[in-house]
Amino acid sequence: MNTLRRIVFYILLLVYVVGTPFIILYALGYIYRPGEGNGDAQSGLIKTGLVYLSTVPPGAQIYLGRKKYPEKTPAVLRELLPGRYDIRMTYKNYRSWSMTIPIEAGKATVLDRILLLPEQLKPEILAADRFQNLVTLPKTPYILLLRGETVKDAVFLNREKRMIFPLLSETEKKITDFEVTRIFTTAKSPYLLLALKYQDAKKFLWIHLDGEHAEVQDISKLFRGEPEQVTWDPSQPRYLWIYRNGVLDRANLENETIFPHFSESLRGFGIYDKEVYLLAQDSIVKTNFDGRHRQLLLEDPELFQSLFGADSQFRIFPLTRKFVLFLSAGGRLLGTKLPYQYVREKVEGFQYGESKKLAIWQDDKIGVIHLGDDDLEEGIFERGARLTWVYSGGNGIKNVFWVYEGSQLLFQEKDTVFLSEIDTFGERKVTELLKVKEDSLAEYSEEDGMLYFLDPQTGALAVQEILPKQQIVIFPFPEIEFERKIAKMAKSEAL
Amino acid sequence: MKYQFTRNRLNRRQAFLERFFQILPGFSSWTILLGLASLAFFKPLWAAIVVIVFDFYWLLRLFYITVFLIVAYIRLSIETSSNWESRILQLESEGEREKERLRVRNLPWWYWKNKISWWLFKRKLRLLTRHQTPMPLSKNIYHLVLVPVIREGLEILQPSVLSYLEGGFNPRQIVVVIALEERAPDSVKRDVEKLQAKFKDSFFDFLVVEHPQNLEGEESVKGANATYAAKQAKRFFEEKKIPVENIIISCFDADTVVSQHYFACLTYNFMVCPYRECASFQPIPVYHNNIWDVPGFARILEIGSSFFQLTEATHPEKLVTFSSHSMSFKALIEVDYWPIDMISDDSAIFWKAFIHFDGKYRVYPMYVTLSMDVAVGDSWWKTIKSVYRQKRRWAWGVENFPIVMRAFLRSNKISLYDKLRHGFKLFENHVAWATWPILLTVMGWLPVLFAGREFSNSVLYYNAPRITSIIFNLAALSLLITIVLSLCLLPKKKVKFSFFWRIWHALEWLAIPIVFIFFSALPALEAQTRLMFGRYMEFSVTEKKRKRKSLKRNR
Repeated sequence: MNTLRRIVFYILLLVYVVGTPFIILYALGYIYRPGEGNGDAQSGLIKTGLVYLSTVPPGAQIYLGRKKYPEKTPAVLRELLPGRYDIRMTYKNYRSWSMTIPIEAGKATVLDRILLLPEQLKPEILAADRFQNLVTLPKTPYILLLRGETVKDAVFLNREKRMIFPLLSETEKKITDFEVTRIFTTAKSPYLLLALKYQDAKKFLWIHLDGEHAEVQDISKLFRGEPEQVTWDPSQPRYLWIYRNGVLDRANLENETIFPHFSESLRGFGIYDKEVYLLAQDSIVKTNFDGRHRQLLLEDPELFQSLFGADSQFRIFPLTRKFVLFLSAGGRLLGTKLPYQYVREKVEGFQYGESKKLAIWQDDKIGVIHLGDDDLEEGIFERGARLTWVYSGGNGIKNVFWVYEGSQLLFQEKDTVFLSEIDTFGERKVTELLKVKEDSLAEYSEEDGMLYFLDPQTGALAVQEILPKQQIVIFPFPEIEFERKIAKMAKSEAL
Repeated sequence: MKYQFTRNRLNRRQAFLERFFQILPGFSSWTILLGLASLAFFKPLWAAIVVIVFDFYWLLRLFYITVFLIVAYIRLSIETSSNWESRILQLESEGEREKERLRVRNLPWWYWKNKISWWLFKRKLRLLTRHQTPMPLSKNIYHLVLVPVIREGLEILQPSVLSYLEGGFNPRQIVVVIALEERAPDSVKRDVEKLQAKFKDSFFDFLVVEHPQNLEGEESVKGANATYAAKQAKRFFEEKKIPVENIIISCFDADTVVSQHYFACLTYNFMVCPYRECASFQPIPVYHNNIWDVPGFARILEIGSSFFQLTEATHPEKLVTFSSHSMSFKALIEVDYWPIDMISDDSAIFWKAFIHFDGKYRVYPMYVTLSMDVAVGDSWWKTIKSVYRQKRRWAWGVENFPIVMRAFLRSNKISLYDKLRHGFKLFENHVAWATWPILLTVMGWLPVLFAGREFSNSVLYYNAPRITSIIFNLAALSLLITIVLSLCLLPKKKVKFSFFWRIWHALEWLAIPIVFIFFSALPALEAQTRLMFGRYMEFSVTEKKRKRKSLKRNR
């Protein structure tokens, strides 16, 4: 028995001593490649790289150069010698996808969010009426559809239930001819404010969307003139914040009272999580909804002056408690992370996406600001957020949306919708998706991966799937979550 | 070497050494676990390499164990087919030996087990002749079966005592001693009295020794009770003028049911063992008494323990006594019986003897089973608690480590090789016990979980899980062999459900990673941590229950 034990022990010891370095080398990407004996640099023990590929839909055929791989996506192609490779993926009835990628020794080239597009997009018609425009209530199931310019032409679509219901009920006929002049929405809120006009009369309607019907409240008496900006906290919808000529009023919708001059001599304001951010002439403060507990957010007057001195008016967008964006009337974009000023002028809008990325657009180009933590990139100087222009040479960019966990940007330029890849190793591919009705807005919903738009010929409401459902990370029971959120809002309103 | 095998009453230097070695295993286990977790967090690349190196080592170790598990199983099945009573006769009579030689020679090849068994017999005989150790005659050999009892009633004790009667050896040469704790409930005392009345005439004698509480120097441990009873038994044998050299003592748990030829096998092994007065005799413990009455996790855990012991049996140089076992009574007296202040008396008695005999004490493996109960409670949850406590008590065997290490430092007669070999094995076994299941199941994945951008863009990030999964797939081969062997070793359940239950049992093995974390690693880690902080454990009796009243003997 002892002899057998020794034999087995020494065999396994030998296997371990010899095998371990081989396994480690393999794990690190080393392979042995016999050479031709003519000083071939790509022979002997070579450190290789790999590429990880994942597509939507999965199961795409992979070609590397001319070689067809038996694996289908998602797949890892290992033991690739350093260099550049032409990679192509095909999937039946989908457009083929190709790119030239670099392979570095010991490194993994990761292409984990490749979105394959169908050869032929087949939009589905949701409502055959002829609409003029649509407005989504971001991060809610509702879309406002406008058949004409008056309030009677407005209907809502509940995307989840695929049901259309009117804005006005039969009893509200006296305002049906009012023209809709402005629409105010807030993300994650099932409320919207409509500014109406009929001859010299003006009205403001506060609308609460509840599943399959709209509750309308006339709150015109709370307005002292044409507001420049109106907003509310989705968790506290009983307070409306009305901004006009540097004065901020707080309206209480419950008892229809107004707290005039909540703050004045302002250059802008913003709301986030039961707090108001106020940009005054020489300071920026944060306060609660009662106006007490004011907190000065920037104590350095010189820095304040250099940041805010040049422009008179700003819109403030607190995205988190720590990160606030300021957009001036001239399109200058500032933020609370280094280097504070991200774009000097002409920014028309932005979209905050996953992975701490911010998409901004001007009339002719689109940029991405990376707000990651890799601040120490340039020697000893913190570089902070950096802007990369990902699309330029456009004309009339209207809207930009993040798609598939921040890997693509969908944008509308005039009446055409495009999709652009962000994470690429060379020139970014921009693919034209479809045309929409002239002067109408297309809206992409991250929640269901659908693009809602008006058909260019008929004006009908159409929807096109961009991201297949299985790729959308859905929190458990979204409807319940939404209803719970509404209940929570109602509760906080009651308080 | 004269040595006080205790952690109590030490001088300053010894107390310092004792604390140092008490801290060492727990400190090492925690350092390994926290060290790898920290490495995974701060240097995931390095951690991934460490994990691969460890996983590969574990795989080869698993193969090694599996090879010897198969060898041990074959050996067990060969030895099970041996007729030990005949073997004893053949030892004592040359004529019987010759008859057997001729019989075996004429057997066809498919009786290979008998042929190998005969070959093993001849080998042992040759070894005995070479050592020129005089062999006692079986008629002069007496068995002392010592059963410590505190809470076990008639339903547990009676099947055990019955099995001694049918143990393949003349019961008139067996003395059963029930070591009864004074603090045992009255119902247990009455049961023991009934048992004594029933079996007194069946054996050479059936003694009941009541162990008084709170004797000086003693702690509430099984070893104290057993020691007190063994001392009484010594007086009994002296009165009967039976020399201690010819007495084999078996200290059994109350639920220990011996297999049919246990005492014959033990007698045979005692007779052929050179220097038998410096040896313990270790059977293979199996937990078949109530194996089908317990939850699956407890079943695979105990089969795992049996397999571990089966594999250990193939390596007698490193074998340590475990649970119920037997030894020379003379050796027990010479080493001054079991420690009376330690919980892990089963392994402590080996170390005590090993030190006393200056490293010349060894454990002699016996390929015969004795069956015990799996710890079980009234409910599933109580079973979990009971099993956990039992494993923690087993893991408390780590208390031997500091005492043994101090002895090794003091002893000049034990060879350095033996000191290193045993010291390292004792240390490594306990640290591996506490860390390996956690390293394999949890820690191995941490580098991937904690990966930052730099690591997640490396080849290693993608290759490490692949290598790990290949290693685990290869390890599944070992698991498959283990499942097959466990199916072969298990007692038959009711025939009607036999096939279903065997399939179910095979599937139970898939839970092994979780079971081993909660009932192997965590109890061991707790035991080591307690020792590290000087929070010593107290002896607790494992709860054991059986559903069936009658017990069919296994193997």
